[in-house]
Amino acid sequence: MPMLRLLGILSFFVVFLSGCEKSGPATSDLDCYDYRDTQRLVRLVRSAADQVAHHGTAAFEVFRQHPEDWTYKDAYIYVYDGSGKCIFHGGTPELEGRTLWHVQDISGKYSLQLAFKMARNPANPHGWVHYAWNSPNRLNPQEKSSCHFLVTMPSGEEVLVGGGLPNLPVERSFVRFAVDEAVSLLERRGLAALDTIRSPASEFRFLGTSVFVFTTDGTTLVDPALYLPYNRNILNYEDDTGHRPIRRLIEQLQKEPSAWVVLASRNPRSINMMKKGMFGRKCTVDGRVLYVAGISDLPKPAWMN
Amino acid sequence: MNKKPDDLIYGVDDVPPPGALLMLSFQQMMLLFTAATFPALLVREVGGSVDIASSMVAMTMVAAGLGSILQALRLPGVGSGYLCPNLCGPSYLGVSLQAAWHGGFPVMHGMIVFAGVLEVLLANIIRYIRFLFPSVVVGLVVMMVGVNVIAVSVTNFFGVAYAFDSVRGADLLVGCIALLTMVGCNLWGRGALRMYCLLIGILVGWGAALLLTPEIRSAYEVLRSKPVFALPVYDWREQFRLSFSAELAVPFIIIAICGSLKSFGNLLAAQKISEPDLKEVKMKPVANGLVADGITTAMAGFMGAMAVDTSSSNIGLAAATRAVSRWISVVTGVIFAFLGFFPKVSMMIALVPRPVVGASLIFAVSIMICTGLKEMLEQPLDQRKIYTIGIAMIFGLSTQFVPALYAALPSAYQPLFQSPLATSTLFAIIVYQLFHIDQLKDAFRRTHE
Repeated sequence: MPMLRLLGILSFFVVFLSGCEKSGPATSDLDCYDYRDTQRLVRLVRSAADQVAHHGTAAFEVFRQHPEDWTYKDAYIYVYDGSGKCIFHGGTPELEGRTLWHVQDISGKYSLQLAFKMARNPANPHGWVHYAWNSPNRLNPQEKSSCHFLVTMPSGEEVLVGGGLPNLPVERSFVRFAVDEAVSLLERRGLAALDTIRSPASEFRFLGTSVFVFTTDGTTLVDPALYLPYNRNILNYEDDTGHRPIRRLIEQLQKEPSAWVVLASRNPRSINMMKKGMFGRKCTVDGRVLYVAGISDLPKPAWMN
Repeated sequence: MNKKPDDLIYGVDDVPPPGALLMLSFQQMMLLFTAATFPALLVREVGGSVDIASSMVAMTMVAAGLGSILQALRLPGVGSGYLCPNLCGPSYLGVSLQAAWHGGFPVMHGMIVFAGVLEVLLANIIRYIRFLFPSVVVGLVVMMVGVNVIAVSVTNFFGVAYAFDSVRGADLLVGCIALLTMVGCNLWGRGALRMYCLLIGILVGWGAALLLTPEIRSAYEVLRSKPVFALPVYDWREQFRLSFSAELAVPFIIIAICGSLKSFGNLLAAQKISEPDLKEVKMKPVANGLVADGITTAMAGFMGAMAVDTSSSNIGLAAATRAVSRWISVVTGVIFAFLGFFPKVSMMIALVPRPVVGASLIFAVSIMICTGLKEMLEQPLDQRKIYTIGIAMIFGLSTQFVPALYAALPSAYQPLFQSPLATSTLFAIIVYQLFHIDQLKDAFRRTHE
């Protein structure tokens, strides 16, 4: 009888633990992400990309036969060829065979085109794209973050392997990638890049975050929150603790090439203040010094209400 | 000297043999490390450098160590003489952050000194209000001391650092192994096995974590860059500069009151486990303990550290191991302060895996909650007591269940509804007096006789 009781307790633990996320190997390039879901998603998509690179389309059969190994929470694997034709879709198989090159989300983002672009972008190491998507069994759009890898199949054809999770918390790295990309774009295209950075359909606007640009005296060229018909000055902006983060960022950027500054704002749903991080970089465009920055939520301690 | 109750291995005034004293102190110190990272978190959030963060962690450890010693000694008018060590106080984290943003670290340190002085003043008032703390209120406060730590202990047990992140099976397994080892040693162990149950659990859990989650080994690489010995000072002039901000006075006054209430609860709990046969609260050691707490908080500000606070979980651990000697607190304080000068060692201990930390807290908190329940139910409950307990608990726990509700209050009142402990204590005192208003005159007369 005691043996039976012990077995019962052990089985409870086994069943409970099997429902939890598995521990993965330490991968240094994933250390830049704060959340395990993000790390797990990249590992899943990268391992699917390896399968496709080694076995070509035969890998799709493996994905179909063992879906439990190729999904994580609401994430599934999808594969597109260079023309934007879906050749495998773990979430909505009806999409297979369709060309989605011109598919747009509700804010006008060409998500697939962006996915190809980001997968080729060294500043965005895991090809992250954030967009609204119609997840399986949903009618309304959901914010989704997906990572992508471009791989060459044994046949020599280049395909895009991706997978995403809806409502993934905003990683600080996502903001850093977007700011780095905006700086690179400004350095390549000059002030003409401002229209692209400002566009809601660009990779610079995602998950409530937007990349913004301002001059040394705090005048905005791309506003952080609005589409204004004029430029406003944000130099003396004060957060809810009286701290001036824009001034602080400029000071920090005199000493280092990039910097994080913390902002606090009152949260109507919590006694604790909401903390956000602002990542910024300085760049020179057409002889003018400009500051490029983006704001994201900072990870909140799990025990904090 | 107090007579040692039979069920204690080392009573409050006993001096354990050197080996046992060292091991028990080391065990207590391991629990103090659960909050050792708060200063680093604060410095990181206000954009401070790694040097400042290291110095702040080390100085806070020194202040907490000295505070633990001060609390355990019975100097004239200072120190409770109970095992009630100090750790970096999470209750001060929010306002300290606000002060650091507002005017940098000099303002933060200045306001911590201000709060410490206030706590000392409040301690002197507490001496005269014993009638506010009948055993039912004391029991409730002791229980809520444990409840206050639930969120931190459970999230650590599940190995989750950030809100909305996922739980890993391996972390949960590590937590279970550590907790079952601690409880198993405590329930079925004898002698040393029972006395050092937490330490054994931590070591077993740590070993399990290294086996089951090998990726945590990468965290230990940070040790290489740490010096063996370092003075915890980053800038002799800047670090000790103090400044005062009138704008921040109100939040710091409120947090000083709440901090005093929390420490009051901890000291009552420490008294209860050290002298379980007491029929009535002895206010003098409690008030002296609050003076020590205030002095330590002010000292932390002067030293350029974060505010420190009494630790609930350490009292729970003392109850679990039945070793409540105040000399354990003294040696714990000495070791903790000493380690502030040895970054490599202190950093290694601070890297105890999260689920093991969670298991240690759950182990200690379980005892606290039940000690409080026992005290509450020791005397028959009449209708007045039932409503006192019920109403105070409901409002205290509601701060955790519906935090959004209290977010709608004017900001000056919000700190009173930030923790179950402060809210329950406040409600229990008020409600008990209200429901005994017809007996108030008699109670007051009894107190002054």
